[in-house]
Amino acid sequence: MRLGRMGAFFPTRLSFMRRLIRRMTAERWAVGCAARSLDENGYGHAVWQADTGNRIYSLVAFSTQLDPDQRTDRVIAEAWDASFVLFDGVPTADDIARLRANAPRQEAGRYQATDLTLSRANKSVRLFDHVATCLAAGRQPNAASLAGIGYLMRTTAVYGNGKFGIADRAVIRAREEVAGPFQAEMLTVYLIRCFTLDLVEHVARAMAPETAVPLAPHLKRHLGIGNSTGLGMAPFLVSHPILIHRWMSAREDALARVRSLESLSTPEIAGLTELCRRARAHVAEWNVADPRQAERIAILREDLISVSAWIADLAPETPRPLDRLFRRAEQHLSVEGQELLVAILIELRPDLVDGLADTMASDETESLDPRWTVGRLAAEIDRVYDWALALDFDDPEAVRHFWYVSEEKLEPRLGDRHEEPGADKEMPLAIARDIQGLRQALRTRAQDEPIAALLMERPEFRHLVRRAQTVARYPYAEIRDNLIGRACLPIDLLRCKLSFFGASKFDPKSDLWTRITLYQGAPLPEEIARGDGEDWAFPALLS
Amino acid sequence: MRVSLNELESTGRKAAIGCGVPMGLAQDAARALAWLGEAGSPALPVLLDALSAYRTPDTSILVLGPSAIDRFLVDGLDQRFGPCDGALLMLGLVACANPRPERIAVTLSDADGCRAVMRVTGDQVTLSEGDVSGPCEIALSPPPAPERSQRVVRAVCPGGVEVAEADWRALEAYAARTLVPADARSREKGAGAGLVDRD
Repeated sequence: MRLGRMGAFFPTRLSFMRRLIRRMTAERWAVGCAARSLDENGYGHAVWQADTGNRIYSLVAFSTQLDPDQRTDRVIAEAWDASFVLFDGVPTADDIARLRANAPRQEAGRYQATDLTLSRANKSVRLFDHVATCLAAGRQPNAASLAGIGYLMRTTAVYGNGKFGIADRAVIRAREEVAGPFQAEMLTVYLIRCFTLDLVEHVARAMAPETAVPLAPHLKRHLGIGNSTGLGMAPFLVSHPILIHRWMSAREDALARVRSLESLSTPEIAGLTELCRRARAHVAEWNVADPRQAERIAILREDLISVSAWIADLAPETPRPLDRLFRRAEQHLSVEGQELLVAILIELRPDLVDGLADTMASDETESLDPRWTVGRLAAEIDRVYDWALALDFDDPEAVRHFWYVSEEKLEPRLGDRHEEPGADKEMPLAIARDIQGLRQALRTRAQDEPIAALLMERPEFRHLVRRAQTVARYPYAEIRDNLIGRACLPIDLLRCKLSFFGASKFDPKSDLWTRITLYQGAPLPEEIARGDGEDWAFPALLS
Repeated sequence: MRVSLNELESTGRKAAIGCGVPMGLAQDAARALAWLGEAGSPALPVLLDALSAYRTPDTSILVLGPSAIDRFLVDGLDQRFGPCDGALLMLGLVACANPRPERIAVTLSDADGCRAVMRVTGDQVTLSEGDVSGPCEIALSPPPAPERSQRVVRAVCPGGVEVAEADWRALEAYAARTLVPADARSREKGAGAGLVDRD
């Protein structure tokens, strides 16, 4: 698991949004607006509910006026166009009053165990105003504008698992519908999308009740929710090694299953051809300003032409066709091309793949067995951390960065060790460097000594012993790169995690943060209620 | 005030690190804290006592506790140490040990002769509560015969735990020691998005 590859991941049908929509569609959840109290500018509150048939989850949304100078995607912001809480059940008037006093303040508010997630969003002002104005005038907005931006609002955080007093994961862990990773958060974002689509139509109606028209369904479907993601997400991948192993392992298992197919039927070859066509159309609408990513996308478009040609050469008698495709990709395509092909291949056979989504959660804690001998631990470190032991940390560039938490709204940041203060408060993300230190210490001990004796004298190694023992059991638990080196690009960590969420249209704004689109192409509530629209991979509007 | 178990654990871990406790021991202490909270014990004052006493790490429950569990796992022999401030944390440390001894008893004895005994047998954790207070001597041993007054400890409050606001502020103050003050450079280069976005 190398950063360069993680930074080229695409969403797959194992991604958490796809999994949620599959469930919602299969169970025909009823999603609708239960309350709308908005003025002519769209300010006020609304409640959007998802009724699973057994339980109701309610998004309580507050829309407020925001001074343009306060509109920032940064986590340090203190005001937003809209704020949201996913409420467990149906909120009373008292609940809504309580949330109105807290949700617009976000991290400064306090919440209860009935509140499952907390989020906020800002409008994409250009697109929101364009869409509202067009609808008010009785016409549909420009499709190219919609395709270019892809959302009416973008979130800047979706908090779960006990933050600021909201419900611990333990509250929902046993509920099948939200037991998987980030399912409550993904439901929140889906309902936010519903709210934004409703909001823009409400504003249009208020502008011109006589002429306003609703947004056409095919345009609605193409509008997702934007998101700005910075460094806050990056440490998660390091601090949850067992969970990350499960995510990666499911992805690898899915790929192995389709690659091991001995042959494809003619309809399956046609399906693969169609998936590749859709992927090409999707990538054709992926345009970014970032020069590095723009170049990668240009190469990816060429790669997909090659893949199309390779698929055209497939026949039912071709042995192990998907394995051949994959091996060919490894030889001839960019890493982005290879990873998009992975997403395409996984998409082809839901029957082989979808069950793996149930293996992606973990509440297991890391273990530390003090009975291991020094010799055993050293041997395991040599086996699983060979890549880390080969790094030269005497090179100042190999330790250029340090991760820390800023006093300002507790935001993770990346500092320059040689130029900035704060390295004494470094977060423990320099795994490779620190494992080297542990391995060095083991050389001074008797090989048959229990590790308990070392830990008694050197407790600073305790978390590293725990980690090494964990990584020895979970092969995908560790990112095999130096996360404090000058060459480390945090954006790679972000893209990896976001791809597991199901994000698309990665739009890097620097090495440290990116914009993305969530739920673009996802079915609308009426389609979910019909059990329709589960197949929404590689959305495209213009072709 | 009510805090979630995740807040209790994560803030407890940061607070321990802020007091100079090594990361691995801070992780152990934080899990023990959350376990005590979930089990309905007055968790937060216990950790605060332990953190105050960490000025002398050699006699701290935060160091001696995990170390004693390690040794018990290695040789199964009785372990005795103390007196320690925040000794109740030992119950959580044992309960959350991973791996956890299959059969173990934790006995806390205070200066007045009061005792609390926790027994672990397989997956079952039982507690014979005495009203211990102040620093306690701590013993780990194979479990003796059960007492009639014991109760089975179960997770009871996924809705969070009540804590005294002053205690919480004290914990946050310790945790804040791990933070690095922001400046214009770190805002601009160390983080992400532009300061104002109007698109």
